[in-house]
Amino acid sequence: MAHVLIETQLLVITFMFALAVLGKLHAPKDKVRILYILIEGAVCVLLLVSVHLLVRLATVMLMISATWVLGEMRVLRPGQGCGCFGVLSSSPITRMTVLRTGLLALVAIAAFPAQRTGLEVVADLPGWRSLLFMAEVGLIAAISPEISMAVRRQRTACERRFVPLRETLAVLYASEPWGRHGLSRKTEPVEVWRELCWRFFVYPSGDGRREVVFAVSLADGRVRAALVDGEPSAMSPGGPGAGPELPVAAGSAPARP
Amino acid sequence: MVLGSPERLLAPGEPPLRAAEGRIVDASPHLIVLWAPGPATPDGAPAHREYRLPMSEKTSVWHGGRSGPEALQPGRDAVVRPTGDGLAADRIWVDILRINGTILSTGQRRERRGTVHLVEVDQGPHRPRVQVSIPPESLGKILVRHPLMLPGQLFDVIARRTGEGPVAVRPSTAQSAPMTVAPPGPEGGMLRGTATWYSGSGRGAAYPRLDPLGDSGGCPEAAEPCAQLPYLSLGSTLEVRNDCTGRGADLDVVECGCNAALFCDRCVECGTSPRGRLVELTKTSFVELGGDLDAGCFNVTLAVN
Repeated sequence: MAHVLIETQLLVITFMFALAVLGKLHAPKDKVRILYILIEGAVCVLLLVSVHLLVRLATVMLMISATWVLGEMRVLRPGQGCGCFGVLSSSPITRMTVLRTGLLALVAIAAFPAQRTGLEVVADLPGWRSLLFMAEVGLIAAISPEISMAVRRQRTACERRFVPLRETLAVLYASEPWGRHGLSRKTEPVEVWRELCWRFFVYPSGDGRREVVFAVSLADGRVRAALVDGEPSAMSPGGPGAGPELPVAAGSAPARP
Repeated sequence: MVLGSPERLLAPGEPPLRAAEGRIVDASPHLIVLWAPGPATPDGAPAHREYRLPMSEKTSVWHGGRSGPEALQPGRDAVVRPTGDGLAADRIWVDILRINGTILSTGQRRERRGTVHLVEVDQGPHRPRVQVSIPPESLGKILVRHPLMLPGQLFDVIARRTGEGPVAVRPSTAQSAPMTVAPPGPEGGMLRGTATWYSGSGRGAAYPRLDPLGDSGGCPEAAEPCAQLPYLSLGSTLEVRNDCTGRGADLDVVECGCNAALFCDRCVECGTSPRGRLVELTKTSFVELGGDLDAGCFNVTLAVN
């Protein structure tokens, strides 16, 4: 029975690393986050295929450091999210977030003596292991702010919802206007931007002289397209929103003493 | 273009004023002359514009506090808000700066007049890190809003530019600590909250919630804004109305306002605004909508068209 308990901990910690990588992959990425994805992805894969003690030790150290860092961040940056599971972890760090990471550190410690690799345990999952696994994951989910965030996200208006680029591209590629313009999926968009519930993509047209602008609705997946000539009009910050001109003359600039 | 003409959400208010921002080249009791960078000449050489603005006895001058015409020395930077009829200067802010962001470190320096506190501030990825000094005479006012001044805490002060770096004058937020309770969402597509300013030139706005994907201009590491703002991009147009003066204008988004997203405070310029900084305006745009730079904020209604 003890080895079932230990092996389940190995599954739980591996599953959590996989979830963390998946969440981060669907969030905006910078160099630091890519590094986190690589580290967590590597740990997840190694837990699945290796029984080496160094892998288990690295996992424990990673979770203990994460608990300490989150504890510090909760005090020093009270408004910030941890980003542990991507955009779902954007709510401020609470005691529960730190407690959850601490529990996962304990899970990693408990998984330390497991004799088999993660993949071998997965193959042997049915039975007590699956019940234990589901109970533990359920407990961790219950104390995780990400669950309430996911529910809230479903209720969030489309203009305030973060939508990954790949989701929008999938909608665009499957649309009738995309097919009508005969563009290749390998073509990189010239420009991509977002306005409220719409994301816009600009592609060079087939003849190379014009541009196709696609607008993809993030609310209901509608896609509209328009062919336009040349460069889009440049932004003119001095243009709108100002009263009558003041007296103005021209010359060369003075230096600040 | 793809979606048709945008619909206006805000009823037209008072038109904006036409403010001037530049370097003082001459000043007398009756006239101030400013030079500001202008469009480059056809041969690519830098050019400037010259603003000549009459002053009256009602013109007030700020230079680290209420000051007089003696503060209008050539070489100093100034922002001038004209009177409602546009015929004379109403208010002039000289060498005014705003330092806001997250405290990186603090220190102290002993001087003859007392202890000068030094605060290093991270102003976000689009603005430089800066060290601001707090002289003994300003410390009391700033401690009211920032009682601890610990690394990691938010910091927001109005400062005066000097040869030795910015010198804090007064706090620029009505509340000290960041709040974590989200304010209510938009009512009928319009948002109400706080507009502040930043040391950007020209006209425009820094918006706290730009999409971090594609070419929208948002930062991946930007915090979730306190106000429930929709996603926009650089170049989006905002309908901005100062609820205290009724002046409104359409302003382009010219920068990511990652810093504003961190603050969850209210503006109490005319009544109490809902929580959250909706937009940071450049000095010129802030003044043209009737804002007082030394006050730091005004209550704002914002719509996106």
